Amino acid sequence: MIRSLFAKLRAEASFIVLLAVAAAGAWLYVQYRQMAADRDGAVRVAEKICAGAGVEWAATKGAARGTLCARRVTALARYERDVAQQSAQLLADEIKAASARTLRDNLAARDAAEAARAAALRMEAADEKADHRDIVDYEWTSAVNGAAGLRAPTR
Amino acid sequence: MALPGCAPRPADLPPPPVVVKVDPPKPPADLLTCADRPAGLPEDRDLVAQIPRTLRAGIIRLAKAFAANAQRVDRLTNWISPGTCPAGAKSADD
Repeated sequence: MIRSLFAKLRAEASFIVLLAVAAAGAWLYVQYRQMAADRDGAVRVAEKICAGAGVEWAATKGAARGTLCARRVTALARYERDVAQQSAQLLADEIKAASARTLRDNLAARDAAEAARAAALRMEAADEKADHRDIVDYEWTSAVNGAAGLRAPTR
Repeated sequence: MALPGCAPRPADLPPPPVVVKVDPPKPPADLLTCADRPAGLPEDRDLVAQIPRTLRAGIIRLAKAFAANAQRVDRLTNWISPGTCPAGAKSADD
């Protein structure tokens, strides 16, 4: 039975080969259509990206299609990165400067307050001494100079 | 009304703010000078004077207010342009 089947097939060999070639052709055609659809989709996306970046996708005199657009998109990405980085750097520097300034001022204010307190104590003591007869001497004027943060004239 | 395809998508992030350094306006230069500290009272050893209590209290008030005001001006000046006024300044030797 199998032998008779083979005999029949051999008789129709040319038709079977034709069938196989047709199947292969159909498969290749489907592959091609799929590829073409993929390519068209990719080109559409590329065109959309380029339009978003404000550059034509099509080829120009000096450059193949997409070259200018790719360059532009790369530049935009770099620009965004640079802006973010430099902004962060600027803000960090500013915060650092502000805190340094505050610290410096706090130290100056503390020193001034301590000096003023010491001078006030000295002034009080010198003034108490003068209380008896309202007579003041160089100790009192020196204490006044200390309270005012001044030096005596050198004449 | 915008077409649905043109509406901003939620995935679109707002553009990041670009930080630019702007110096705050500075007050005029004549306001940014260190406090004027003239020579104070003489401190001669042989100096003796009779000053009533009320007058002494007034002198002390003036002296303390002078120190506080001068200190404030120096701090403000140093705040705006750092290092202009030396810390703990006293009247210059003249």
